[in-house]
Amino acid sequence: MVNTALLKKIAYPLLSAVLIGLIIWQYNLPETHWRGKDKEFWYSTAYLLLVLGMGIPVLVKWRRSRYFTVRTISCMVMQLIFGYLLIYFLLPQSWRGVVIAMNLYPFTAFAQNFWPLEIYGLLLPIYFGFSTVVVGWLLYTVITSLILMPVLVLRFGRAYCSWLCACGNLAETFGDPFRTQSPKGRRAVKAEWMIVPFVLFAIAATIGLGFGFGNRDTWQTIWGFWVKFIFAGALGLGLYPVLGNRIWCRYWCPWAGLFGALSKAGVSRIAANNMCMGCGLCNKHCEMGIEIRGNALHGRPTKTTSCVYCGACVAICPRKVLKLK
Amino acid sequence: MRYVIVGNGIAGVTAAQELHRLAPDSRLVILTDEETPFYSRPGLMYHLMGVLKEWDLRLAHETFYRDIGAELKYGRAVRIDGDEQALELASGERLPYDGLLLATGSVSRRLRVPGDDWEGIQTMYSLRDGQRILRACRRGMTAVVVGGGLLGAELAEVWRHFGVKVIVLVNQSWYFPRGLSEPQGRIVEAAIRRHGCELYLQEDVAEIRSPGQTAEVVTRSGKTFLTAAVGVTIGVDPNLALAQASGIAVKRGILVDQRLCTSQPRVFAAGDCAEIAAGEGKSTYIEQLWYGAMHQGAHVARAMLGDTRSYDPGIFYNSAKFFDVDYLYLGAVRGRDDGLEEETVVSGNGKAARRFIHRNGIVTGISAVGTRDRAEMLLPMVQNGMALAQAKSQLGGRGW
Repeated sequence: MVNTALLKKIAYPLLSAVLIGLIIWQYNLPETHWRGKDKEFWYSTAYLLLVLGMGIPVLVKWRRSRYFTVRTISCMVMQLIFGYLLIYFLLPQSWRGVVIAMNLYPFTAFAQNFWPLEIYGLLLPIYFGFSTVVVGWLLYTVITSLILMPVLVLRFGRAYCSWLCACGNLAETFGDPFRTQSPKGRRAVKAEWMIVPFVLFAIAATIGLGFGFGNRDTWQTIWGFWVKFIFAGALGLGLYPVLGNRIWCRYWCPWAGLFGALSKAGVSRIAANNMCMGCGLCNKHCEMGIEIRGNALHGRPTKTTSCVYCGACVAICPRKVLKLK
Repeated sequence: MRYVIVGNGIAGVTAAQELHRLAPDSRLVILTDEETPFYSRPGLMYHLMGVLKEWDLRLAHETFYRDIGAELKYGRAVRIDGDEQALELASGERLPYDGLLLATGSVSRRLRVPGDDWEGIQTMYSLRDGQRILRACRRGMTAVVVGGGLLGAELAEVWRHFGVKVIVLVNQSWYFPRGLSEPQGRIVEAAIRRHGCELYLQEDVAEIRSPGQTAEVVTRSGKTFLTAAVGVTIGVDPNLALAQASGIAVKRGILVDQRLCTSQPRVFAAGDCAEIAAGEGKSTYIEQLWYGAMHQGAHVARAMLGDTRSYDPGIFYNSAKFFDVDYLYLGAVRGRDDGLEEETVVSGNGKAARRFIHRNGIVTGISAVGTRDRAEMLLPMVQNGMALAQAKSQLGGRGW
């Protein structure tokens, strides 16, 4: 028999090493122009192609679930529109210019990565003053991040993470084969407290930069290099094959820490009927390592701050026990 | 109070949880003759196919037993000493009890034909069985599955996953007639064949010849299959060894009254092994299902604490998957209840079929094959006795 478990034990860490290497390599590439576009444009293009390309096998694999299919298409379309076309082609030049000038790592995602996943959405005026365009982006950020998202979280939990977010779009397409790798068990769930310092830092950085407390460069370096490049990029993406596709979203993302907590106050949950036989496929396929089975076995709903509403547990359940509510 | 539970399956563990909930001070001992803490037997096939690790299959993690005030003891019980209220183990140890629960489960039914002691014969009940299946599994080998049922389809799927050539022998006119109507059986048969199995209906094993690395399976009609393994999935029988050795009344299962108490005081039985009295003038019944075992486990815990109410099996339900075909069954079972008629409606281009079991046009049971119908959708129809025509109009297509 081919020992697939052993193969995974060797191949997956190797793949992780390659991914981390690639991410570090591209980070250190000089800011060159190629075919009239700068590095960030090409990074965004590669990211989009990865989401679109790897979305297709996901659509095939999960074709029996309508929810999963619609959601995966949403990931692909949202990345195309919000992460690419709007930023680089569709918006007027002045609107695109401001955000591209921010030249953020890894790419500009004001349109889909809401505060505090991207803190600069609220900070544009300190860099560009109060022009119409800047106020426009500011309004967009305030309305989406501080009004629309909290309302959506109360009803649909963290569906944002699996339908629209740029990090989520990659996690749900390129990262889908690694969803079973996410850490499981009580200790893995307890470790989710790790997210708190990230939330506190994101808020502190917003206030610090916004009101000029502390050194601007220090705030920017910690945010840009440590949080975005090291944790979201090199580790968050690089460790997909070892620790699952949601390592960043589960343990480090400031948006998840802040607004994910709100989802527990909302109505969303993984409901269960009384047909559970405890096979464990739901737990295994949960990219957030949620203990669903323990509740489902007793017909109880599962309510957590970490569920991103991906629908894998519902689709994989051989007894049709679960339902997203 | 000290309660000893023989059996670490869903009935035994549910009873322990309920005992702990209702009487937190009681001391609980759960005895198992397996090597693993509580795990999900229905998930076994996914473990064999490599989707789940053994750890993923376990329903008891970390502090599970400690949290319910129970001690998990590995060992085998040989006899119950009813006079001294103690359980004797194979190791010679004696466990005194104030209440004893027999949740010994089932044993796989044997073929009972010449050559049925061949070492290539496989069953699929426990992790131990599963490990044996994997050890003997070789890509490209031939395996014969005997018996058409839920387990037979699961074993066939496991073997197909490893590229084994699978031959399925079913001693019936169509697949699983106990749970499926003929059109439903045909859908399942098509799925089994679509996944690369050879399926023969109305074929039974007469003999297993020339045992060795391989053996010949000879059917009653004279067909011969050279095979490296035979999977026997012709059902399970209650595990009676301990009860019989202890002089407790048994028939097919361990006989219990409506409270789930055996013929011996302070000794109870629940789950697969229990044969339950249904009341005056009615025949006894055995519920060999995960769900029934869970309900019985919860009930027997209350009975052990002195509750005298009768066990109510409630509405029957079961669900499963034959390869990629979903199966759901709710409500009245034909054969168990009299005066029932049935009608099967095929839909979804012949890929789905719903069977409506009814009495004078009032629905009492529904089974669905090839649909994503959910139990909570069908349950009210059965519970409230919906009119047949209305139920038929509400359910259609493949329910996706």
